[in-house]
Amino acid sequence: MTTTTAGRDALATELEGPVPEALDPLADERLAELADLLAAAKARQAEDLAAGAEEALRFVPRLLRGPFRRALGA
Amino acid sequence: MSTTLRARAEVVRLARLLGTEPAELDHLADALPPEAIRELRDRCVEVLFDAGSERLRGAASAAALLPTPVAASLAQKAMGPVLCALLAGSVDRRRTVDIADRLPPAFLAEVAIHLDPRRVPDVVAAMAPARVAAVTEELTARSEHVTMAQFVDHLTPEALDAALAVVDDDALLRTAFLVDDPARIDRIVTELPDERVVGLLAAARTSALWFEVLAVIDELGPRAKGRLADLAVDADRQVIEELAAYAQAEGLWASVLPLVGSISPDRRGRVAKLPTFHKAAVIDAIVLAAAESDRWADLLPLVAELPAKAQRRVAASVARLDADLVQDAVAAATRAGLIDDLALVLGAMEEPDHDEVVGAAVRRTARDRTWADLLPLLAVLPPRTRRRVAEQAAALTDGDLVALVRSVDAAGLWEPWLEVIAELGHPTQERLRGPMAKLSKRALRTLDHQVDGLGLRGRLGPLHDLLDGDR
Repeated sequence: MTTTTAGRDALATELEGPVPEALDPLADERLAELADLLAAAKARQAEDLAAGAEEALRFVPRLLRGPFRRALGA
Repeated sequence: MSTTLRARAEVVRLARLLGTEPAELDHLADALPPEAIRELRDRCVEVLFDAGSERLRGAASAAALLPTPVAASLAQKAMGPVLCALLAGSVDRRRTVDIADRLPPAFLAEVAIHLDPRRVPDVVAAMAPARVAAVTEELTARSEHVTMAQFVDHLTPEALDAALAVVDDDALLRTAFLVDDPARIDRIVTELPDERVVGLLAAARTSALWFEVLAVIDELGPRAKGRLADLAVDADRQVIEELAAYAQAEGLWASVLPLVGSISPDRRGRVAKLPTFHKAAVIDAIVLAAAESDRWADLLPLVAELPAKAQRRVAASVARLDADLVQDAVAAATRAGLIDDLALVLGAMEEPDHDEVVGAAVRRTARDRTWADLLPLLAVLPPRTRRRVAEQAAALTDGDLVALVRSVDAAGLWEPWLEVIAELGHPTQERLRGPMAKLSKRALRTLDHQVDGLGLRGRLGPLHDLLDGDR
């Protein structure tokens, strides 16, 4: 019998390190679901940050927009 | 708090972090202990903030360029609460507090929901009590008990007081139940005025929050527990009745017994009069819980105040316990100085229960050589029980009798034991002669005086010579 570790591997990738041993009782498909959720949260966060920065510019006084953009790395 | 409920609270926090519904992650609470879910959450927090760290640092330095009023306006109108929560850890503390001071409480409440306060403890601690109170009102209105509980650990005492003043009893109970640090829960309950504690109990009745009450009680120190117990007794009698009904229905007497044991002696009688505690099924469940969780010291004082009929039922329940559990009861009663109460239970025991229980207790005491537990009880046992002890002693081996005599001598408990010896037949008295002859002359002299004092001379058969001969 072979044990699938695709879910564990995916979660390790998203966690950027080994999956905590405390999660050993979980089936691999559960680990895969957690990996998907974390990946989606990361993607959402990146989008939010980008959109927030763009939106923020509307509120920044014209004078400060250049330095503000540079600080954001945009 | 129970492990299951702590696990559920962790699931709510993790779901919020990952932007999903708690129901999606409910399976984690069934499969994992709360510590495991928390570890996963911590790792997710780490990676989510690490992932954005470069962008976050950029956003933080960009924010630093702006005047505070502009930054506050931008935070609210352009970024929204999720991004603000994300950035809170990257911006200078003083500046974060200044910006927060310009944001409306409703917005700050939304930020708080998405913020892990462990990332910004100094910002939370720097918030003015009045601001904290205003945000608490918003969080209460949103039923954000998980969020409030997370912040409790990080508030200054002044801010905590301000928050407590605006949170209603229902929300306070639900929040206290989710607070991680038991010392904090104890402090909160200790500092609440009596009417608030009564209010918590009333909220428990209104919203059926008895589980929450029991979980909070579980975290309290002896003083706070005693105060809460007395206030519960002084409140509407329905409080105790409903709590008892809940414990009975859910099989949670082991959690209620510490509260029962904390009731002050002058109020115990009132509880003992409540009809709930006279029901056979309730008594059976309480006795079993006391036995299985070793909470005899909490139960026995109440038993002493029960009406005779209920005491007989307690005795019958005890008689049905496994003999080892009865043995534990003897040890617990001795340790807690409650042997009079235990003797009362034995006295209320009907036959043949009584003979069986006492017989098993003596046999196990001899086997385990735990006479130090049983001997103090001898002094207060009714004559019927002492006779039964004597009958069982006759069946002990010579080795057991030697151990028994040594324990009696070491504990200085000759007086009750002499009464038992007087009940023994001559053959057993004769068997005691050997071990007793080895006692020091001083011990035998003391014994001799005690025999006179108890009026037992002439009832000690062959041992009489031993004492008399040594005079």
